[in-house]
Amino acid sequence: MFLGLILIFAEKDIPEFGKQSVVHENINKTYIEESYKKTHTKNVVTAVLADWRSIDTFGETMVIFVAGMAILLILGTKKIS
Amino acid sequence: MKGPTKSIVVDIISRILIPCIFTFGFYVLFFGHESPGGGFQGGALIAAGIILSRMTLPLKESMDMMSDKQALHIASIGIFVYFFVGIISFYQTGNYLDYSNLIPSLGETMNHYWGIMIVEIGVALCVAGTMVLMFDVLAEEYN
Repeated sequence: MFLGLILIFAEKDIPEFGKQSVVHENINKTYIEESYKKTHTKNVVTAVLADWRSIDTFGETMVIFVAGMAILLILGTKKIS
Repeated sequence: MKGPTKSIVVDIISRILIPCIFTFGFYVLFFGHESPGGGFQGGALIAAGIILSRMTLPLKESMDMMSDKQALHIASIGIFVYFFVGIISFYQTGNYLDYSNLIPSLGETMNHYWGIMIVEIGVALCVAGTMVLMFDVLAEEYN
């Protein structure tokens, strides 16, 4: 409930729907221009995913690993674990 | 030497197909810099090859490729590689997962290149191990 109050308080600062805001104005241009110069990687998706947003990718990998561990804990027998 | 499917067609075709699936998986993993692909996709393809071998080949041959305990170890090693690269870069540059000074003799650009490569390999190991582990745990009672 406290979290909900905080979210209602923070909702005032969301930019209007469909309006350009400071957050998504220039960042995609920077990615396209800088990715080959900075990381020597032609695939922009890989460069963004594993370099600029690598903590996010670490979270995704952790989610998959934790899912596997949960299945092993709930359904596994003594043969594997 | 026939597997659990009792059909020679399925056996022969899967014996031909599994090395091709592994090769394509490693291609997708290591050419993620130049073409669509990367860690998740490569790991999923490698896991698909091993799961196909579990379903069609005899159990002992399939377990020689990657046993269930090895799958657990491979998943743990993959996530440890990712975490350890982050720790090394935190020690060197002060930012977590900032690869600019990973090996100081290389330039900054090539450091980013190899940092992305190592991280993708870690992701691929984790995904492949976890998928094989899930399949083994869920299919254990049918063995």
